[in-house]
Amino acid sequence: MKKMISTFVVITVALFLPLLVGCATSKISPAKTSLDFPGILKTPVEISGSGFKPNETVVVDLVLPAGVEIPGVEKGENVGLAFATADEKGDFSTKVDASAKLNFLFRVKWTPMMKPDFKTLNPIPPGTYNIKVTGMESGKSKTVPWEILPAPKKK
Amino acid sequence: MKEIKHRKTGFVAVALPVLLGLYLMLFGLTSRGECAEKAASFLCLADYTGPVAAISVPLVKGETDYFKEVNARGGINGIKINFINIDTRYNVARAVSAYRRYRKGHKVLVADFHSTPFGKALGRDTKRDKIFGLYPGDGEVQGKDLPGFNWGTTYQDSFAACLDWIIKDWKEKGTGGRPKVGYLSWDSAYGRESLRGGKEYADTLPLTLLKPEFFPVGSLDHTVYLQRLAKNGANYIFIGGVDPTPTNIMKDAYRMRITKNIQFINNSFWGPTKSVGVRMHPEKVNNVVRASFFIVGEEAEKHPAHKLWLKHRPNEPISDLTGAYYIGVALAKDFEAGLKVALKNVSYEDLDGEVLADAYKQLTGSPHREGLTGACAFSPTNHRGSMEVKFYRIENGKINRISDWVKVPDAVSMHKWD
Repeated sequence: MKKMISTFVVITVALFLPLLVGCATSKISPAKTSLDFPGILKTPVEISGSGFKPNETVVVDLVLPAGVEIPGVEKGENVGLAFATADEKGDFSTKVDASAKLNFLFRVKWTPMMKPDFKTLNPIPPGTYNIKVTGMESGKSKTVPWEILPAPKKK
Repeated sequence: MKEIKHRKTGFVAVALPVLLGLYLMLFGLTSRGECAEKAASFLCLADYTGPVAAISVPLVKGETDYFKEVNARGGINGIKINFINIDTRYNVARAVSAYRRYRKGHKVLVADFHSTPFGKALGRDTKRDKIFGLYPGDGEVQGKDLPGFNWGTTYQDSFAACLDWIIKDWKEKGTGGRPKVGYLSWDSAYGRESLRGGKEYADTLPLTLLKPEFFPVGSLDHTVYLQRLAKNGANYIFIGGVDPTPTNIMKDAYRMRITKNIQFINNSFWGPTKSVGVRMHPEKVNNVVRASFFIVGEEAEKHPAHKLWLKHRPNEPISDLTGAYYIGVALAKDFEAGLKVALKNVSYEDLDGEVLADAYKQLTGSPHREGLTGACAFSPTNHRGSMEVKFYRIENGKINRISDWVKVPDAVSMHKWD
């Protein structure tokens, strides 16, 4: 039994070694973001991190919990919010652009003239979401929470 | 003793599958769209919504319909085509994320980027993944020898062909002097692309290229830009953007009453289109000249390939068939023709994007596009799908052809690519 357990430990360490070496880190700022429209379009939402492979593409995904759907995104699929190229140290910093905020936080529809139709804003439910940051080449990933707050009540 | 044996077996039975499952989950080796049969995948990242939807939606329909035909015939040497199309919603991050997700699907050989920034963001990754990109009209693919191909003619080569057309038109009018040429397009990589090589070409011609004007994507009012160009004496104005943008520009120009004195021209393919501008505002887009690497208008409706539309889209009127549908068909035909060549050289198991890209380079002059675009120009030194455009003029609600295929100048090579 001891031999079995030690073999199991060795296999586990070997398989998961890549995760133990050079862990990636990331953070989102602000960690709490209000669904205040149009204010959110002017509020920078920045994601940064380190520990990725130098010069690799880093993808920032919003992990969609069960029951939250976004047009054009298949169930079980995460949706890209931002991306960046890591620098020579493996650090990155990027921002969520207005198009991503409109499409994925507010699920906006587009007019026949191909403009966002602000009458159709349908914000995702407030709550704690996860942001998953992944290196395209290294496969390293880090998940951080992101609290989405309801829009402040209009006075 | 028996109990220990059972415990050992139980441990192995539970722990190892769990461990393996965790490993596969973390390292992404789980099957994603794995096909039981032999298949080659064509990944399409397209905006079904947003400013370029007027291109992407019909283009994807063309790809879908033609791939269905190929698969119904049993595929290519028994290899079925797996068409993966993703709605990227006019968002580069969404495209990058979707690419990451789907690139390791079953034999993904091609990534069709429907937006210039997608290719710019993912070019390096596609090269590493041995997947080649297909790009709209971005001359950078040719200029920087990137691992990919343009759908047809590049924006700058088409721009240069239009400048030649302007010189000819100006001479025929017998006005004398040098024509003044304005340029108005989106403030984006796409909007500026025509001038990267196009400006250098303009400098060699007897015309004056006015300071170009750029406006934010989504602008509905172009008055100030048109006023400036008109005030500076423009005789010709290039109008860029994807329909409805060119139509919106023409609505402003019509309201300003400058369409009689200024010839408006579009080198960058995307409008005014039959289904948007020409249908909704025929009098306002009247007389606009379009250069196109694919057939459009009445000519498109009459091409034998329209039967593909009729067969697969019984509930959609033929009048909805726009030229972009044929770009999709042409790209699907490229994939089919390329696979046929590649499979002469390698086995299915050895097939990858690099092998297919080499096969595309052997399609020079191949007739497989059947006149839907100009002659196929892929070669070992040319990434461009075609080096030809046709000229069309919008007249009384119709898009009429006014030239045969015209060879475009190589403006890409005139630009200094960093």
